[in-house]
Order: sequence, then structure tokens, then C-alpha cells
Amino acid sequence: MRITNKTLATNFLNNLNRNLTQMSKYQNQLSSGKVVTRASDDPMLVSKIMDLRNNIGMNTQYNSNISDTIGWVETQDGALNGATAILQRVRELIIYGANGTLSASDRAAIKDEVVQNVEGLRDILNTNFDGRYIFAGQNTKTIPFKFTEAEGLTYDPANDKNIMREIGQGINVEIITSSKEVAGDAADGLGALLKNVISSLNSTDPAEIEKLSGELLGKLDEKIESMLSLRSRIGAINNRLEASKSRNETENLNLNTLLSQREDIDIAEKFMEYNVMSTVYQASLAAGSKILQPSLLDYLR
Amino acid sequence: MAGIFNTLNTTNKGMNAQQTALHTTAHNISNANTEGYSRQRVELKADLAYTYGGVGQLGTGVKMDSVIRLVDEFTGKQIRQETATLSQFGTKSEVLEQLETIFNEPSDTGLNFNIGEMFKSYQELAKNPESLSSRTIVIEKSRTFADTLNQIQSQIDSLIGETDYQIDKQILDFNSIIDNLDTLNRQIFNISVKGHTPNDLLDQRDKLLMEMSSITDFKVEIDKYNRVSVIVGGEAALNHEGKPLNADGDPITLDLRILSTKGAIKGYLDSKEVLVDQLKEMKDYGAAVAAAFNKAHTDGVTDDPIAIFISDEGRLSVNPDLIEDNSKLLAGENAASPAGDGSRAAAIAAIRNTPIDFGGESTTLENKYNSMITRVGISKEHADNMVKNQEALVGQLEMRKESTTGVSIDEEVSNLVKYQKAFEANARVMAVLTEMLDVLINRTGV
Repeated sequence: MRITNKTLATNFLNNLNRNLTQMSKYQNQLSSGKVVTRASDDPMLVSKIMDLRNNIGMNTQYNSNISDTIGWVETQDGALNGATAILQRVRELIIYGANGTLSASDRAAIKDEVVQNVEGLRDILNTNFDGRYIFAGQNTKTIPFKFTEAEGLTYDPANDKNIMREIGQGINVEIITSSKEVAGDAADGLGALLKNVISSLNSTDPAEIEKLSGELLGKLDEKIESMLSLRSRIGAINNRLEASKSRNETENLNLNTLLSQREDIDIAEKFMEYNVMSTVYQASLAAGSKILQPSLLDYLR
Repeated sequence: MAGIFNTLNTTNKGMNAQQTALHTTAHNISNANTEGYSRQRVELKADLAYTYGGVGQLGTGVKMDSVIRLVDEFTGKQIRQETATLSQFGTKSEVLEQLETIFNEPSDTGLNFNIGEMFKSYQELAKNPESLSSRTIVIEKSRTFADTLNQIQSQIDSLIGETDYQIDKQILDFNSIIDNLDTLNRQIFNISVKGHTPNDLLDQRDKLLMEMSSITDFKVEIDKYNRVSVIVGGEAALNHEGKPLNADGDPITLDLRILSTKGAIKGYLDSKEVLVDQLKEMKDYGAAVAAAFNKAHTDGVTDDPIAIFISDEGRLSVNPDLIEDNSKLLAGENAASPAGDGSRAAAIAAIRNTPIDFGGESTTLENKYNSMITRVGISKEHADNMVKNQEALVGQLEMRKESTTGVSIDEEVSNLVKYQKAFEANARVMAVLTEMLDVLINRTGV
């Protein structure tokens, strides 16, 4: 084949261009830290990367959902702890007040302390988390529990719904927020019992005082029991959330590792490739300067 | 006997021939970098001999036969064919690259990211249904999503316009080349008919054909006067004698959008088809998103159900009623539901993992978008690979053509020396003859 000066120049330029394109690709990868920057670089890889990013986004959101829910449930647990302590104190006061030898004024003083405690119980059950009442069913913006001596501890019967939280794809957890779950029915629940206790302490009728150590004490024990069992249910929910959280975090780590393996460059490897390419490029430049320069004219006098 | 004057004449012819060859060498050197130029050569041959009685045939020197150009018609034809394919895929790759830039994926600003952000805002609302600021965030994220989607649609739309404009421009270029070829045909005919070869005009003609091959594919027929006719898709765009005329005597304009099967016109047409499909798909996508979100927001709402997105043929906007009063965005079952009810927001957030019907294909919003991006990527990758292959092919063919037609400086310089020496030798012979005449005229006799 006949080789002309143009053949040499064109070949040289084509090769130089190819080397430069390759250099620019490596440079791009090194400066962005990413293997691909557009879909056509590797369509299947980009599809996988987008998928992983979506999954990580979703997972991060679920993680935040779980953390918030754990905060809520822990607040509930703390509140129930306080409520149980108060009920224990009320129980002691009932036993004390049931003593038939007490004078009416002594009993009135005990009643006052019981009232104080019930007000404390009301405040505890009205605890809010992040501005939301935790035992108000779904009516989280309205104070759920009210107390008067005449009515006892009362709540709106509409506060009987629990709240659902999504903690994973299609996985929901129900957090117990229903007022009814905490305080029982309006008719024979905690509120009615406490009302009866107060009215019994107020009474001078020995039959009423008799009830204190009998029926009412028994019922209070039941209420304490059910409060404890509610607490253990909430504890179980908390455990479930904690387990989900750790699973979520493991998954997040795995997804991020997968994403990084696909998306991020191996810097050492890329640098090697870049340096090899750079050497090739410089060699082609050097060769070009040697081959393109001379012609027959240089040797003709 | 061969007369001295006869020999003098032979020398003269020799000097003339060498000088002419040297002139052509100069022409070659000066055109060494001219695009489309084919090197030329003066064809020399021994002139007619005459019979010298008793001795034999005596030569009468050199004769310049013709000036030929060295071309490789077959390779030229191949280059034209392959260039048409190269240009088709090059064009497609260029347009698809712009489409990829419009989508801008993978990134933290593209539509994929915004879909995710919108769903996240619904998750937050489901967690904080009491909060007005959660609603504001939902509305803002939804607006960002709608804006991004609309922006993509507008950009594809204007890219379609740009593609149409480019097709028109290519057709204009084609017609102007045809006009030039027509003029060249006439000039070539005027010279050819006298028995000469218009080398430089032929080069110009080949160059125009080369330019035309990046616009469309076509067939060329060359007649005995070196005129070309151009046939695109079986229909004549140019006859040897001039442009084809219809029955009324007006020039016929071919519809290249139909006749072209390769070249830039075909590339733009292919790309336009992709773009139109893509635009329709984005509009369907918008409509499907609006339908899914609106359904989830209004299902079972008895009191004044209100849409989230308003879809104008796939272009989305957030319902202005919601922007005005964000409390109208329902987080719970109904407007009258308790403040802590986030079930509806949760149901909307769950659209993310629910397959939606996209005209027969049932998949999630993100997967659908993902598959669109992947498809564009694959088309672009295919076009890029074709371009790479064709570039290598055309490059090789051009090397082959260059090996025949290209000017080699070294070769021309050695020719220069060759002709110079021959000229000198001829002149030397002439000097000898002059001396001989001097001897005969001035020193003989008297």
C-alpha cells in the first residue's frame, strides 16, 4: 500500500484522538468518583444504580419512621411506669382509708391525697410526644383525660382508635394510643373506679367504707394488673421496633455497599489505568513528532 | 541520416515534456492538502518513429499523451455508502445524547430523585398528620415533581422541533448540492465533448457526491461524458442532462423524508420517532401519576373530594385549591377524621410500591421511569457502537483511497529531481547539438 504524508497525519490524529477520548473518560471517572455518568455508558448498570438509590431512599425513610415510633413508644412506656406507681400509692391509701377507726377528718385528708394522685395520673396520661397526646386515640391534638371529683377520670369515647405506622415495605405496626386501652370502659373502667373510691372515702356510711377494702381494692388490683399487661404489650412493640431498626440498618448498609460497588470507581485501579493511558498518549505524541517531521526535503541540498 | 535539426527537435520535445511534468508536479504539491484533490500525472510515451532506410526505425522523442488523475472509483463508491450509514447513526447518537441530557439520570436532581422525595413527604405526612408544615412540604415536593416532569416534556417537545428543522436544513443542503452538480455536469460535458478530461472538475464533482453521502443514500450513474445522475430511493434527483421535470416542465422535488433509507435525514427521522414516542410516554406517565394520586386522595371521600394533580394531557400542575389552602390535603380518611389519622397519606405513600397500569404494562412508577431511561440508554449505546464501527470502516476505506489519490510529498520531490535532471540532460544534448552546428557552420570550409 502506498503511504502518503496525509496517511501518516490522519493515522496519527485518529490514534491521538482515541487516546485522548480514553484519557478524558478516565479523567471524568476520577474527578466524579463515579463509574457512569449517563445511561448510555452502561444502561443495565445505570438501571441497577437507580433501583438501588430508590431502595436506599425508601429504607432511609422507613428508618426515620421506626426511630420516631420508638420515641413515641418509649414515652408511652415511661408514662405507664408513672401511672402504675401512682395506682400503687392509691392502693396504699385505700388500705389506709379502709381502717374503720379513722376519724372523718383523717379520711378526708386521705381523700384529698387520693384526689391529688388522680390529678397526677390524669397529667401522666395526658403526656404528649412532639406536641401530640399519646393516649388520645387518633385525636392527638385534644387533651384526652379530664378529672372532676363528681365525674371521676373521663375521656371522649371517640378516642378508641390506635395509630398505624409503616416501618417497612407493606409492614405496619399498630401503636396503642386508644384511651380505652389505658383506662378501660367508661362504665366500669379506671375512671369510674377512682370516682367510686373518692366517693367512698367521702362517705361516713360504714358499708361504703367496708367496700374500700373489699370490692374496690380488688378492682384496683385488677386495674394495676391490666396496666402492667398493657405496659408489657407496649414493651413488646418496642422490641419489635428495635429489631426492625437493626434489620433496617443492616439492610441499608448492604444496599449502600452494593451501590458503592456498582457506582463508585476503584481509585487505585483507575489511577493505574489512567497512568497507562497517559504513557500511551505521551508515546504517541513523541512518535508523532519523530515520524511526521522529516521528509525527503531535509536531505536534498 | 538523422538530421541535426531533427535531433534538436527531439531535444526540444524532451525539454517541453519534462517541464510539463514538472508543472504537474508543482500542481500536485500545491494541492497536497486540498480536500478531494486527486494527484495527477502527465502520461508520456515515445513519439511515432519513422523508418530510416537500411538502418531501421528511428525514434522521434517523447510525446505527451494526456494528463490523467489517479482515482479509485470503487473505493469512492464504498466510502459514500458507508458514510451514509455513519452519518445516520452519528446523527441519532447526537440527538439521543441531548435526550439523555434532558433526563439527566442518574443524578440528585432528576425526576427519579423527585419522585422519591415526593413519596418521602407523604410518609412524613402519614407520621405527622396533625402538622400543617408537613402538608406544605407535600405540596412543594409535588410541585417540584410536576415542574420537573413538565420541563422534561417541554424540552423533548422543543428537541422534536429542532430535529424537524435539521431535516429541512439537510434537504435544503441536498438540493443545493444537486444544483451544483447540475452546473458541474454542464461544464464537464463542454470539456469532455472535445475529448479532454476535466480532472479538477471531476475532483469537485466527487467531493460534492461525498458531501451528499452524509445527507442521504443514493446511486450514481456516470455517462460517457463523465456526467453524473443521482437516484435516491429509485427516483431520479438529477439526470445527466439536467434536473428531472414533470409534465408541466417544472423541476420535480423528491420527498427525501420517504425516499432516504440512510444518511443524516434518516438519522434525524429515526431520532424523531424515538422522541415522539418518548414524549407520548412521558405524557402517559404524567396522566397515570395524576390518576393514581387523585384516586388515592379521593377514594371514599364523601365531603368535597379534591384532586391533587390536574393533568392537562399529561402536563401536571398541583390543584390550586390545595396551594391556596393546604389543610384541604387530606391525611386521614375524611376532613372530619381525627387529627392523628394519617391513613390516607400512608395510602398515597404506598403508591410507590403498587403496580400501576401504564397502558397494558403494570409496574411501579419508579420502575416505569427506570425502564424508560434504560431504553434510551440502550438506543444511544447501540448508535454509539454503530458510529464506532462505521468510523473504523470509513477510516480504512479512506486510507485505501488515499493510497491511490493522495499526494506524497516525498514522491513529488523525487519526481521534481527526476524531471529536473531530465530537463538538464535534454538541455545538455541541445548544447552538444549547438556545438556540432557551430563546427559545421563556422569552422568547416572557408
